[in-house]
Order: sequence, then C-alpha cells, then structure tokens
Amino acid sequence: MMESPQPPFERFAHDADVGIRGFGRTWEEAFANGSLALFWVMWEVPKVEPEVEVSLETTGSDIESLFVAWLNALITLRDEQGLAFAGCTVASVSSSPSAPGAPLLWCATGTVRGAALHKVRAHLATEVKAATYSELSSGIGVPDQHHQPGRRPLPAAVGEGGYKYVQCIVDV
Amino acid sequence: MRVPGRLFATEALVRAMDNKVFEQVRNVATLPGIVSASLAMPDAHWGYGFPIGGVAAFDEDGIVCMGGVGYDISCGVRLVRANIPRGEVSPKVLGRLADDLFTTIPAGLGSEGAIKVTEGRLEELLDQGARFVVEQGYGRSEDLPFIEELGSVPGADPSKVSAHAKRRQRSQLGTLGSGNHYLEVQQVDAIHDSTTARVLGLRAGELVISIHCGSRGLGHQIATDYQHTMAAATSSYGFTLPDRELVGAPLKSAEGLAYLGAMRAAINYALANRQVLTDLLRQSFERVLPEAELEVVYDVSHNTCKEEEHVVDGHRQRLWVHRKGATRALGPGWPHHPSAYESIGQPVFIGGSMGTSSYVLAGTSEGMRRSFGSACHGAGRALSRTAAKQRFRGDQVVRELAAQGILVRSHSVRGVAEEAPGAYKDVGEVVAAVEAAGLSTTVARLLPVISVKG
Repeated sequence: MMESPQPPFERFAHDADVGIRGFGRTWEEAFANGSLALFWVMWEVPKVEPEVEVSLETTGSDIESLFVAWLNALITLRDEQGLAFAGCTVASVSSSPSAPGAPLLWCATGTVRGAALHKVRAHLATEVKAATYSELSSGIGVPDQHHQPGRRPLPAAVGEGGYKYVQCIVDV
Repeated sequence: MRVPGRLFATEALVRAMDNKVFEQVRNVATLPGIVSASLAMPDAHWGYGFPIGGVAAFDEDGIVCMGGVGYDISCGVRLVRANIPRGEVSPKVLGRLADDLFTTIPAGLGSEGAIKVTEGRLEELLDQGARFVVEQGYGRSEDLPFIEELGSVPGADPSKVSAHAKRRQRSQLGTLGSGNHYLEVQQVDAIHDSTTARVLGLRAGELVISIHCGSRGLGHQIATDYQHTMAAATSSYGFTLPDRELVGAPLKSAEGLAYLGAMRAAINYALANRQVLTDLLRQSFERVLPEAELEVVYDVSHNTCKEEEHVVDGHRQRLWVHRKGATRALGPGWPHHPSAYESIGQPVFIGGSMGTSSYVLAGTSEGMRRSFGSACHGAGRALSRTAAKQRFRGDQVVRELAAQGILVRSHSVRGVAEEAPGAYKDVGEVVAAVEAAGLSTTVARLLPVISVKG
C-alpha cells in the first residue's frame, strides 16, 4: 500500500450522484483505491471486519471500461451474497489480444474481503446502483477539472504526477 | 444535430442548470431516428447520456437508447389516499405510525423483503408485474386499474434478464432502497384544481401516502448488463456517439428487442415492488390507524421507454418515447385509464424533499403536443451529495424537521444529511414552470408528515 496518511482516493462532485477517483503507483493500486472510494460511499469501511474473501475477474475493451466492470462486479456481489467489503487486492490489470489480430482485451483479477451486510447495519449509508461511463477517465497525476473547495489534500507524490488515477460517477 | 433541443423552464431555472444539461440535450438530438426535438423538463440536471429530466421519441427506424431510461428502470411514485383527515389523528398516534412504518417497510442498503420468489415464480412475476403479486395475496384486485398499464406491461421477456439480475433481487421484493427513495405520509395542504382533485378522491386536510422507488437490483443489473451489450451493438451498427452513455441499438435489431424485453420485465418488477410495499403499508395502518381506508390513487413511473402513438406534424405516428427522470403525463383519454378517470389527464406525482411540498398534477392535451405527454419528476438537487454532507448533519436535520411536525425515520444519518431539504431546489418553481409551459396542470399540494427513508 502507499505510504501516506491520507486516503489515496477522493470524491468529486456530481449534481445528483457521486464521483469517485482512485490513485495508485500502479493500475492495480488505483483500481483497489477506486474500489475503496466506492465502499466509502456505501458504508463506514473500518467498521467492516472481514470474514470472507471472494475472487473476482472482469474484462473490458479498455482500461476505463475495465474499471467500470470491476466496480459493477463488486456491486453485483454485494447484492448477490449480501456482503459489505473492507477492501480488495487487485492482483493484476493486464491486456492482451483476445485472438490473433483481434483488439486488446483488458482483464483485472483480484480478491475482495468482507462481511455480511447485516453485521454493519448501523454503519451503512447509501446504496450504489451502478458504476457508470459518465466522467469515466484514467491517466497520470491529478485531474483538476473537478477541483472543489474544501477538498482534502492528497499525498504530495500524487500531485507530483507520479501516480495513476481512474475515475467515474456512481449512480446512487 | 438531427432535431432542435427544447428546454422547458423559467429563466431562473435555466440559469441554475449545469452546463452539462445543455450538452446532453444537444447530444441526444444527434441520435438516429429521433423525432421532433430533444426535450428537457424544468427539473433537468446532469444525467447519464440523457439529462435527468430528458425526453426523446424515436420512430421505428430509430434506436432504443438505455441512457434514455437510466439505471433505475421504472422508478416511480405511487400515491395512496388514506381517507382520513390529519386533524383526527393525534400526534401520539402519528408517532406510533412513524415507528410502525419504520419497522414494517424494509428500507436502506441491505434491507431484505419478507418474500423470497423462487426462480420459476420470478419468471411469472417479471411477465405479469403487480397482477402476479395481487394474485399471491399482496393487495387487492381493485388496486390494479389504478396502476399504469393496469399493473402489467405487455412484451416483457424474462429470458432476456441475466442470471445475475435475477439473483441480485432475491431478497429485495417489497423494499424501498435508499438514496432519494422514500415512503412519505403527507397531508393534502391545498387543492388547486377542485374538479380533478374530486375525481382523484383528494380532499384538503386528509392524509395520503407516497411511495417512491423502482426495480431495485434487478433493474440496476439489467441496465449494467445491457450497457455492455449495447456498447458492442453501437459499434457494429456503425453509430458514432458523442457520449458512451448514449449506447443503443436499432429498435428492430436483436439487441434492441432483447433490451426492450428485459426493460419491460424490470418495469413489471417495479410495479410488483410498489404493490408489495402498498400491502405492507396497509398492514401498518391496520395496526395503528384502522379507521383509515387505503386506496390507490395512481402509480406512475418516470424512467421508461414506452411504445405510444403521437401526432407529429399532423400525422399519427408510432413512437418509442424515452423518459429519463420525466413522468409520463398523457392527456385525457390516455390508454388503460381507469373509467373513473376518463375526464382527466394522467396523474403525475412530483416529490419535493422530506421538508418541503410534493405536488399532484395531471397531464394535458397541450402536453401531448409539446412534450409527447411528459412532465417533470422532482425538484432536482441544488447541492451535490458531497456538499450536502459537508453542510448538514443528519441528526440535526431530523431534529429540525421534528420541530416543524415532520417525523423522519431513517436507517442512515449520513443518508439524511445527503437528502436534507436544503440540498434540493424549490419544487414549487419547477411545478409552476411545468404548468406555465402547458405540460400539466397542478391539482394539489401535499405537505410531509412522516418520512421513512433508507
């Protein structure tokens, strides 16, 4: 994990819903931190004491759609298994042609740790319906188009441009 | 742009709108097969592909666009009248009712409904909607005529709903959800159109109940699944789109037909969900306020794509009308209207916030010409959720509303802060703009008494 006292993710504003952005030195870290940002929309993450671990694998046509697919897989898992999550480890984010000469297929694999939703009932907040393609982007550094007054300072290394980010709006 | 963009609003509302709204209205106007204009209602705000409050109709050579329906398929409002004046209910009984509703109505993230539907029965539910759950004993057959499409939209295809979507809903039938969804006991505060109010059985001072929710995880998953399918279809049909959220497929294509079949299944799920919640509502009133007689006024959705006939440039045309955060508000004589409502336009319910008024409207013939029979659906947010959470404290909001005589019951203090009345625009101005544009007429104003939130 990153050596930082600040959470390596943030929210950004949207009229009705919530923008989430994850940072990391690698795409794997950025995906994991973006997932944490999603979890914080839904519950108080430190209150979830992990009891189960579930493996995930998702695919996308590019790294952005892969991020949306990853988040949506977590949301689906939440409802199907009735779980709240404390965190996840993204083992790999990679791309390769799905067949010789075919376009690249992006793939993410990892594990997510969580506990039954009812065990953190008192610490639940808002249900996220889906991750969306709205404001979906990825890159290096800190995008400033949504800079907000009162935004929590990010780790210096993030601002220096050494970090990757992935972001999208989630529908609540 | 293939057609013009048209925004219905006052100058003040337009000035308050995010520039994204104008961009999204423009983008929708470029879609294949769009007819007449890309429309936005007075409560329009930044959505997904379409603005929330966006309306667009497509001819048979056009596309079905899932951004025009949204992630919460068939989210809508059901209004139930209690046929009892608020003045006859003591504050003590209202407090007991609030507590009973809070324990009876499953609300919030992770809440579970009492009904588990087996896979085989789920197919029937997705095919038959509210009619199916009434046959299972949840509610009364007299409720059905007062639900859009008589409680069951035809053309649902449960086979086009994924296994993930079916599993996701396994314990969610009869649940409210969270976010801006609510069950609210309200008082009819003012009657604006006494003739229509009389037809709807609304009397000043009496209690009514609004239920605002949708198709739960099943609908959300259908949207997510078809976002992926439609993205592939969009490129295979050679569409160039200005926004990835505007993915779609020709109405007559395999992908388009599959989405329509799945979307209609989600509409039926939403209608069944609100029907089960109505049954729970009746149980709660039966325990606490048995003098009340709960009757469905109407149930109308605001996230749908529906096949309808409209007159465009003097010609009657079959159109697929997308309404994303816009309420269907057809004029008098609309299809499947209850016989008692023959003389009035389709009822429209506009939610405010838990501290402000809601409104009952009715569709007009003018609205049929101007907006394909559509109106707004809510106040629209003035503050983002993040900003609202920074500005308001949930427990303080609950106390302040209690001082005004409004009882809030919620599982999430944070959720209350995000949904604080101060986070919303003035719904009265939105409703006045809808009326000024001739899209609907105002029938009655409702004031909150009890609000159950997720």
